[in-house]
Amino acid sequence: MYFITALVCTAIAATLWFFFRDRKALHLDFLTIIYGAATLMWTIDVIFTAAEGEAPLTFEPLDGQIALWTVLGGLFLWMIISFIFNHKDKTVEAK
Amino acid sequence: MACFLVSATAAIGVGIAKYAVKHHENKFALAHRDEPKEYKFGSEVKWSKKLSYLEMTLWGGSFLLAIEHILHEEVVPYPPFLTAAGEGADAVNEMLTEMGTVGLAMLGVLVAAWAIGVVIVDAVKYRKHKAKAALEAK
Repeated sequence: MYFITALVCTAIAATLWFFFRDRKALHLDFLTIIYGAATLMWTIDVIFTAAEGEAPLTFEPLDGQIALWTVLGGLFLWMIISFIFNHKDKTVEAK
Repeated sequence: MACFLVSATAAIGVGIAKYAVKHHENKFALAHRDEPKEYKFGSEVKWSKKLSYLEMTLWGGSFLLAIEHILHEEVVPYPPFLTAAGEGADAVNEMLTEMGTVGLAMLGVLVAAWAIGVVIVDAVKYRKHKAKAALEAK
């Protein structure tokens, strides 16, 4: 379930990045990269799980929790990175 | 079990490499500041910036997978930090096998995706530069 959530988040972040590509301070490229990387990693996980003969996608309550924390974790990391990069840009400009 | 550690370790390595490359680029730019810049394929985006995108990819993926592993209780906030490490030699072997297969495959896919992205961006920038140069020549 969290794989599908990450996939949807990547699609949404990529769409937002496309529409707001001129607003560099938003750093939507990083948000897309964060969710995209997790999606790729879980794709590999899904492939290996399926190769072992287990169900690759499960929809248990814990999966829902992981999906929620995935979304929040990605947004948290994006905010921290955006803050650091925007602050760095301002420091460079001030110099 | 701990497959994300492979990408996290690689991210640390890429971070170190990025700073080394940046230092080299700054030194090179300082030494050749008076010379006219020659445009080559891939020269518009610096390698330090390209590597920072790879670092971001690796950290981003590792961070979200770490959250998943914490919620699955495969990673705990107390020693030995990895649940499998406290479950005997068989569990440790299984963990290392998973890191060697799934972890390395994840790393390979991330690096491949980044490499494809770098080539596409360089190609687009190169085409734009060529078109601009052709217009200026007219």
